[in-house]
Amino acid sequence: MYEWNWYGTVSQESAQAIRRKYGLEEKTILDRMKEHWIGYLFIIPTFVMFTLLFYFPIARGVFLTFTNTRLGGSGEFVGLENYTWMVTNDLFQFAFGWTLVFVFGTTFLQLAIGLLAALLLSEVVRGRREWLSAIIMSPYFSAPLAGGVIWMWFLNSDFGMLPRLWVDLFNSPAPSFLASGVWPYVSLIVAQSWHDYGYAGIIYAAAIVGIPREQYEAAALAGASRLRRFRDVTLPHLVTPTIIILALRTAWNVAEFAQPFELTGGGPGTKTMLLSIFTYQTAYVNLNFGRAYTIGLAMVAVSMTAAIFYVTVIQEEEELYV
Amino acid sequence: MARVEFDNVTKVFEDTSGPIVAVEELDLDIPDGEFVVLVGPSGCGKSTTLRMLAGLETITDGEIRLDGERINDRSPKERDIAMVFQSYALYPHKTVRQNMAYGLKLSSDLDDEEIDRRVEEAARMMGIEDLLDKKPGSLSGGQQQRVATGRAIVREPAVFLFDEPLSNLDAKLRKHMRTELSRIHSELGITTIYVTHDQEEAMTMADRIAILDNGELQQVGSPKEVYYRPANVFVADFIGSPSMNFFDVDLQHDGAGSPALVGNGFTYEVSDELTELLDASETEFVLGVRPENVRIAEDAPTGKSISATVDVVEVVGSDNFVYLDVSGRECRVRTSSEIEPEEGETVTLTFDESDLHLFDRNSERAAVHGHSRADHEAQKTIAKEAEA
Amino acid sequence: MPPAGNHQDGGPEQAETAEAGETSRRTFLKATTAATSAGALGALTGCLDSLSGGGGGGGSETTTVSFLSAQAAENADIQSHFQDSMKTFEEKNENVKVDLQTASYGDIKSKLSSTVSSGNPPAFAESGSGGLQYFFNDKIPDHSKYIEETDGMPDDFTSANQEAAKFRGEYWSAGAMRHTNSNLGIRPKLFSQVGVQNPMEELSTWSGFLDAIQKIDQQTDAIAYEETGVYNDLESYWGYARTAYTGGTDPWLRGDPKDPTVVVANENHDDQGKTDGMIKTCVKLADQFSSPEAASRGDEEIPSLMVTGKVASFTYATPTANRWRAAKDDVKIGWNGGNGDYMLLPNPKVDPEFGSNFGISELEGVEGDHGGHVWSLEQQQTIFKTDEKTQSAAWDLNMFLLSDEEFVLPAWGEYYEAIPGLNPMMDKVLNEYDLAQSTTQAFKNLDQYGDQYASTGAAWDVKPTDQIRWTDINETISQAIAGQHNMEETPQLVRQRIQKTLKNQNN
Repeated sequence: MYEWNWYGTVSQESAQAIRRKYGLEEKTILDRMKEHWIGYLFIIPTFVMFTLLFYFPIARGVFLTFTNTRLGGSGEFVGLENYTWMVTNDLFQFAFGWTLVFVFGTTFLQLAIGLLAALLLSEVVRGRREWLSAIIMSPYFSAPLAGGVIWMWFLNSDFGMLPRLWVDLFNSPAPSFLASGVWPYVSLIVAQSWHDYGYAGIIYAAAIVGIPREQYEAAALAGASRLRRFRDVTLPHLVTPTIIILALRTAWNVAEFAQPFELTGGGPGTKTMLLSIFTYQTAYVNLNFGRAYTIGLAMVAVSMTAAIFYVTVIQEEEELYV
Repeated sequence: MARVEFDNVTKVFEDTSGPIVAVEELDLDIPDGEFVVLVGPSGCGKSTTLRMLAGLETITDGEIRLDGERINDRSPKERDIAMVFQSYALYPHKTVRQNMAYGLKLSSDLDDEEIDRRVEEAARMMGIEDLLDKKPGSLSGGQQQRVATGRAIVREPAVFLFDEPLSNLDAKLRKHMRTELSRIHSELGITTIYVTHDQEEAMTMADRIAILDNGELQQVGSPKEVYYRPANVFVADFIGSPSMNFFDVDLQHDGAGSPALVGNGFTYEVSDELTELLDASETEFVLGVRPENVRIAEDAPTGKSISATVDVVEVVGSDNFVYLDVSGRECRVRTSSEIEPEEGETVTLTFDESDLHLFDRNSERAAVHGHSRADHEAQKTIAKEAEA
Repeated sequence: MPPAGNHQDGGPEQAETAEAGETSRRTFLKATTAATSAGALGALTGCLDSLSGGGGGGGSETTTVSFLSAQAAENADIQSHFQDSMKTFEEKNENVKVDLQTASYGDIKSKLSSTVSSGNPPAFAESGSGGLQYFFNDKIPDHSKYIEETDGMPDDFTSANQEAAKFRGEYWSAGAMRHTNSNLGIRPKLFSQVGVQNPMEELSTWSGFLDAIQKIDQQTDAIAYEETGVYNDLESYWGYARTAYTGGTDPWLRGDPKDPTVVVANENHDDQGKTDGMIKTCVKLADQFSSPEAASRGDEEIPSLMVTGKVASFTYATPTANRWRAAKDDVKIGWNGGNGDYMLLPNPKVDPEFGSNFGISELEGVEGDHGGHVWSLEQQQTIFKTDEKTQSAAWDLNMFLLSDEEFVLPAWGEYYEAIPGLNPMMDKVLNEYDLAQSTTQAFKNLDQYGDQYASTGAAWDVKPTDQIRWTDINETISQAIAGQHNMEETPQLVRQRIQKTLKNQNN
């Protein structure tokens, strides 16, 4: 709002006065469209595509939550029935809580590992850095389903590498990483962090490369140790990227489906049921699209709440620099 | 405060394309309190020299001494040196006050009150008292420059280093800051090494100028020395604006035995006093003469007149810059503003023998400088430069 | 010169307004934009992909039948056989072109759903049980007309197809090309090791089987019995749930499809014990004999576990021997004097002593017959509403896939061993090929035990069949295996969930 007032130069009356003086007429929307028709022409395809592929499905999805739509049909209006069903459903309540744990656990792990990877890369000389970063970031570019298969074989109790390693290291039978106790939860979070930490890594690496070298040098001349330079020069420059990564990763992790589905499919039983898998099951196993969209909206709500929180933080962060 | 010595200092960078010699066997002795400007075109090694002194680059060979002590292996923070960077390198998330206090907090055992007192003193000196609680992001370039300088001053270091500190400012502000920095130097008297690619900045600020090219030191001397007695073609060309005119000439003697410099399309008679100073065996030279020493004069003595065609006349206000063609070579002349020849007109040029410089054509080293009136002219030129 | 640093090279004007903190933010934004837009592009392509495809041709001369199949993507052999057979079909049917599209069984529902909702359904598709919903929503025509016009139909249909293709008297689908059934699979090497000599005899009752797996459990490191307990692979249970019964009696739902009687945990029903008893058997078997992973075990993992001697038995054994050859080239199928890798048997039948032997009081004195689950709903193929010409060409394609020997025999005898969808083809497959023990035995079980081998959920004729089968029954049992609730309360939970589903969705 500030900026607007600052740039919005003239008041209403003086605008009129200026127009009268030079015989100008106020531009209508139609005038503007005539003037910029080529511009509009260029954005029309994007606009249409977005409407078609994005806004329309969203609006339709919201509408569907008030109907009992099933596969292939349109359904009847049922009011808030789907919502009542959802909030009273035990499995939903569980999945909601576990999704929060999964999302925040993964997001923060991805952030931490990504930062470590980026810092490591920034220490490596150019030439070698490109190769190393390609290797370090490669999980992010692998298909989530492929990631699921890799981890499945990695954690497999019968043939997997990790259980063998466990036996060799601890000399005791390995727990079954996708089934017993707290392990499936840990496995899902670790596997997901592995798959996407590269995203945080890429953004952090770009941010670190962008930090002016002189700031480190000035700090070194001022007597700052390595750790101190990291704290006083590197970290402040990472606040903005951190918030961007947090917001994006949170949204993605809420929606993450393929890898957890491949790894546990919500099981054993329904012990690791995530909202995304629950949505899938409701839609494609129980064929109840109305309910599935309702769960989908709950997921959107989680992402949006997180985003709003981050945006609030970003506003405070802006003050860091001004 | 300290004396700084570079003793045979060499810096070699290892690049993917092989080793690159950035600084080669540099010897330079800077007494305590002196303001030395390292100047040269980009890539000449001046910044590397500065960074080696600051401890930001390792020294490949040779020795740097601070007050007689070898500092090659000391970390930057152990050298008691403050540096102002071209990009200022202010910490964007800290206020001006925090920026300025940062070094003192880390490297001194002063209490907060004392630090605050010194920050405010330095801020007063730089005229930035009002900005102390702002963040760098909201300051103009000039203000940021002052903060960066203030941050260096506040530490009261043994040596000040400036790495092209004014390059990011507009011309007017740059001139203003020059005088500011000169003033601060004379107030504090701290040994200062200042890197720039701008010869004018070097001339106006330096006690002594060190001119570098290709990693090699070309000449060290007072501004007057390097202006009137450039050691070689490079220095002669680099110092002074517009830069010196050069012509390839041969020293010949006519039937009467009187010497003359014969170039492409002109002959310039010189005195025996001048030729006596030259190595008798050498006949191939480069003749150099500064634009401000060339006159357009129809009444020039025939033996000293050169015919030229006017190409372009540039009006800069106080003076006119005239670009002429002398048998295919460009010649620049700085004249007073009244003299404004037509473009395409053929005119006669001349200059005094005392203003010419002769360089050996092979080694490009100075062979002889015309000397008379030198001291007198020096005073005038420097005063003029400062005015401009 | 030093390597390029971060000097700001801009002219003085630019620098005058530059903010110190800005450079870095801009730099990293630039660097990340590329990656982000690549992702967005990828998403867009994905969307477009789902928009395309399908569509009945309706050209003046040639009719194009787009055919979406999951079976055709099951393995490489069957895929190329499908592709070749489409050419054969085109040769035999002038002016018809087939546009074969494939999707895995995991993806086909969503792929179909997106083509249908974009108004561009395939002419013919392996819709599975989801097709029933399309039928309710008027996307699929009544198939009776086509069935009645065809010689030998619907009588040639296998009984599993007759049950599945009909919903409350109407034909909503054109049948399934093939079936598989669930049976007991054992590793002869392990069973002979604990003294089993005649598996057909000794493992024919649950008591006999129990005795053998108890020995294996005690005497070897192997998993004596592995439940395929992930909710979408618990058809193993569907199969043996029937073995407490005789004559093909349905263990779960009976009576009027609009208001069926739920047998599960029904205190007023005579058969409650048989159904509840088998649910408890499932949980208890997994608890006592299966690995900790049983609740998330899928059937695909079993062959490699069994041929390496890690698993001794399971009840998801199907006729498809190819899967076993994929796990081990020279797999020995059959008893082989007790030296085989894998052998298929009928599911054990409940004997009067089993209840007390295994501590399931409900089953004491109960006597049942061999039985199993037959997959049929999952593979139902449907014609979608397009134009009359295309629909009729699609039916021709269906009959080709059901009855043309050039397609049927190699498909189910060689590339993907399975039971053909038409009864008359079964003997032809058996006669034509030298089939593995597991395949012939699976055929034999279906033939010999008749109605005891049935397609779970097909006969109920209730609308939410899928939710009841996969979620209300299987997921609840899977939760019990995972220890989320105990064995005793499981039948009651299954009942509550079925009833809720029926109440909400069977109208």
